Amino acid sequence: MNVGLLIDLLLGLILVGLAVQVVLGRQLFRSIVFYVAFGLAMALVWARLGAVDLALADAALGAGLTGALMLAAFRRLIKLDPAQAVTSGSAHTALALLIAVLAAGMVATIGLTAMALESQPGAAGVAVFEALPATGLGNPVTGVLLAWRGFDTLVEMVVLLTAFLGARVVADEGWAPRSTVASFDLPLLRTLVAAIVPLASLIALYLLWIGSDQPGGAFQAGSVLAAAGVLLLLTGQLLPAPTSSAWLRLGLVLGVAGIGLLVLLPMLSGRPPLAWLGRGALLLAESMMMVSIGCTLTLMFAGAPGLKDGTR
Amino acid sequence: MNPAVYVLVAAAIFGIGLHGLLVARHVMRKLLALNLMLSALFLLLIVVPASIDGRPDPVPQALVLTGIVIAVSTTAFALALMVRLFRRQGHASIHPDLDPTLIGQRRATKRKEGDR
Repeated sequence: MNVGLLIDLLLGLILVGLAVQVVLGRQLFRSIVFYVAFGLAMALVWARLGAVDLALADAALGAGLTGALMLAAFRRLIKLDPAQAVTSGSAHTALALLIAVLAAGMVATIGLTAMALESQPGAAGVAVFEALPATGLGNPVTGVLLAWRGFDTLVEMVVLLTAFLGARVVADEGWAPRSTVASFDLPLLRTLVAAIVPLASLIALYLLWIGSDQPGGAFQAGSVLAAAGVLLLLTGQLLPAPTSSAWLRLGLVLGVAGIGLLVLLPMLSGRPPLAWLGRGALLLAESMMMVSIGCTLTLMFAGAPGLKDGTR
Repeated sequence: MNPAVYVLVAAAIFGIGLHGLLVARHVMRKLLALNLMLSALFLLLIVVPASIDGRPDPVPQALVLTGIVIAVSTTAFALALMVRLFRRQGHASIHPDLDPTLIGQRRATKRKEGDR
């Protein structure tokens, strides 16, 4: 047995083991924590499969922010009614087990059958690698997201915005000055935050800049920004506010505007902006998306319409 | 890298997730299970296409990247719905035995059957 197969088997076992823990864990809190661990293991698997863009995105978004959002929602339930928040019976039946096993068999059959198929000569992936040098981009995933499948990315940004607006509409709690954070008065904490937040911003800008040629891009950068926002909220440097400032609203819609311009301008000018404005256009659209993603995810975590400075 | 291993892993995670979705009553557990199923499908989408000259196919990667962002957005929305549900019915579980409106309907249909 070679080392590669051993690593694959080990990673697979870790993933399956963590998934079992998520589903079967007695306490909900434990399940959420195991889900975060599952997301991180998933990021390792992406890296192993050579999909580094996905590894970055899954570590930041799939594991980090989903976990943070779930824990925040769990905390909200506990505050409402501690007894009811954690009760979660489950109805284990033989039928559910049978359905699950059959579904797993179906997925395995589909996967193994699809793998046995020969790839077609005109496949989209091959075309991407052929056309990539003409765009001047080095990262094929960024090329697909922004140059060829820009409409997908536009709709994705719209979904993100819609999900945030929907969450605001659904939240009927009104706005109460919830103390989302304990007031930490640790001397080191402020220093630590003061060091980490600028560093996170720097990493976000780096991911954005490098995203044209290397793994990275607007989504990874935006989620790093959002992680900085979550940290600021957790430490009380930022606080949820009942109203949002004009700047924040601008930040929320900036991404849709940026990618919208990037994919709709060619319809007016007849030429793709990549050929017309060069990589500057991509970077501009991506930085607008990064700001939007950061703002939206931070506000989703805050569970509030706006933010205010908590240091004053 | 051995793709067949990951196909089987994806199938196992999908099954585990579906089982969790079916048996769980708490909405957040259902959401966790759904997210597991999503991860399994993402894994399948990446593993199945053959690599092109040793590089992974970028098209499914872009698809999955989009999928990850959409999954986070919909999860956030679903969590907001869950908090609303909790405020309204006092717990965050979905199950016929626990939903008073459904129980009422069931009794009504039983009574109708009894009348016949």
